[in-house]
Amino acid sequence: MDVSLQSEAMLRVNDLSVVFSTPEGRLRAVDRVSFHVPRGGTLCLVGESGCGKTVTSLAIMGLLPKPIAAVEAGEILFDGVDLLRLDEEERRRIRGDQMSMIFQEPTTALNPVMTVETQVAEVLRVHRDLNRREAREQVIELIRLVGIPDAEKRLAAYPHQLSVGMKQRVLIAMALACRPRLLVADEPTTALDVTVQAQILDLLHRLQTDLRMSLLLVTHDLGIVAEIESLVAVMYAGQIAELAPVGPLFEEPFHPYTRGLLDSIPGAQAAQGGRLKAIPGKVPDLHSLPGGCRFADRCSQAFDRCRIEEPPIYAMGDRLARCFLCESRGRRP
Amino acid sequence: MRDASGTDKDVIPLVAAEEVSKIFPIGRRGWSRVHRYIRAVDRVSLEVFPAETVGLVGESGCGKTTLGRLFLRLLKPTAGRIRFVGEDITGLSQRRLRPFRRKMQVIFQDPFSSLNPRLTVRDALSEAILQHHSVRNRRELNARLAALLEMVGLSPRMLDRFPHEFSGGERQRIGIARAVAVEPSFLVADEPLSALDVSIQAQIVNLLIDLQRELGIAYLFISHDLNIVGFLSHRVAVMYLGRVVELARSQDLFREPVHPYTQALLASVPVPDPKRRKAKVLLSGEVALSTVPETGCRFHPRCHIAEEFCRHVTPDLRPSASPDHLVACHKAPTPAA
Repeated sequence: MDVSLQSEAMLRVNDLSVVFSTPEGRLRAVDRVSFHVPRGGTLCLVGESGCGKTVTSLAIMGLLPKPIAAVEAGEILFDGVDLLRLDEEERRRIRGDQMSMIFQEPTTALNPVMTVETQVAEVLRVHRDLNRREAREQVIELIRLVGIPDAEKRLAAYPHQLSVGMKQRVLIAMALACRPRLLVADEPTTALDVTVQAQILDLLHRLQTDLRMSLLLVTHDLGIVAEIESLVAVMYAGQIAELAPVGPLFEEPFHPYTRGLLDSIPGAQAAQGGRLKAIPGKVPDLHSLPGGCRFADRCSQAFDRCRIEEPPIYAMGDRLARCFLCESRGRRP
Repeated sequence: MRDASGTDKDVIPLVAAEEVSKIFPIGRRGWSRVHRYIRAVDRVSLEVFPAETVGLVGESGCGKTTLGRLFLRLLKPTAGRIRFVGEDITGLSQRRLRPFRRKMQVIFQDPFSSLNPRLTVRDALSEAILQHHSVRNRRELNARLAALLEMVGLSPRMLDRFPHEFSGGERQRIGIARAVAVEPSFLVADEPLSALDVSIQAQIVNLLIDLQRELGIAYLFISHDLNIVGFLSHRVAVMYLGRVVELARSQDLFREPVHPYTQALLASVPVPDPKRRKAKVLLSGEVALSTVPETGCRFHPRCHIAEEFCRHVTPDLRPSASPDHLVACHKAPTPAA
């Protein structure tokens, strides 16, 4: 699978900005973000809480909370069509059909008073206009596809009768009901135990290959990212800090933030005298961002210019990074 | 991974659980009597030595939090004993426990919900200090408050702020400050990092290491994050459905896990290095209380090497790969004589 910057895009996001109206004023949660999800491939969107990764995925799905959040500028090209130019009805038709989403918390994402069959069938009845019997057959097939044993028996189950892992499988079944071309998975395994997480990641990988689906995986866990052949976009305080294929990114991170994230994981790097190499300080408040680089205050390699001027994105072959350290070897795209 | 320390046989354990069990009643039907019980912790023996970190890992529902609470005597064991520096504290009343409470502290996963939102940091910390210390005047109290904040890496200027004004990492630092304010010798850290971002987790891990070096506190570190447990702990205990199934020095456990469950658990942990992607042996099924088998090894329904007698006989923890590498599995090798 070609996951380079040049690969053909299923989804292309260009200079996307999202603003929130808050009591303290307007806040730009996503700031001129650009990336693409390769056709049939995976883009991992990585970052810590508040970096804008979930807001970006909600903007792509057209699910931003209204009226407090709105896309300020940019394009979201899905197979070449700018989703932002479509009206609400057209977007609704695409959502759940050609692109769908799974969420972090499987327990709250399911309706507690509806059976598995009703919830999965609903997707098919809305988008495919199937009757009850036709839908039932497809639901059984989907439930088998996502690896739930005794599919026929599980149809009548209510969410509380299922384990968390099984609930996440039901949600994946719902998301896949219409064989979407793009699946957006927002922290799909964060609420799960490691052994179940491994099962679900394995399932997603198998389904992606079998159904030739493109995947946008939102996560905070670099361990998960390392296991997936993908393009990786690292976000920090609303911006893309670095974008690269997974191998080179872990081999030699260009942005000091990426380096710091990797060093923070025990086992990834040799321990420094029994301590971890932590990134000092904390993420800046989006209401009062520093003038220059957003990471400058926490960066061990920052120099004067970093605090005055915002670094542009530099392109280096297959990779992008927003850092002055890349100026000599990069070019402005 | 850190060197083992304090595991000499002559040293008295700081805290010890001896064959401890905790049974909770569940499923009360109307007015009728309780008709089902679950064994959250089942005959567990575990010792923590002074200035040692023991990691406790396992998946949700394995009983690791319950075991932590039994150690602290926040719960009373159904059977077995809890000892603190040799003294049996199993049956002590709340009043007689008070002197021990000072020595045993706890920090939780979500520091926000464990801090009173109406108390400033000064109030919260003063309360702890005054409970356990004799400070003669306000000046001494203030000096002690400032020293505490500095110790956990916060500025004394933050003393008059309320919990909501802090970030998650700072709140966890306050939680730690409150716990160490009474100079405990034993600290139970129950998933103290799960609510924090990766870059902040590393800061808190470093803080815990520094505090242990300076103050000699022993930790029972409960977590589902095996990377961090392996890094921070001297010894690690793996729990499965209420039983400790493997107990060994951290480096031995991670290098050479013996119990099939430990092996599967470690194989499931994502490795943050694309060049070391591994073929996974996926464990099928999930842990659920409804799957606790009536007899035999609790892991046998999911175990790929289980044999007939594993279904009937419960294995006890016994020395395996080496004398201090304990495993509860019939198929584990015995130490070379």
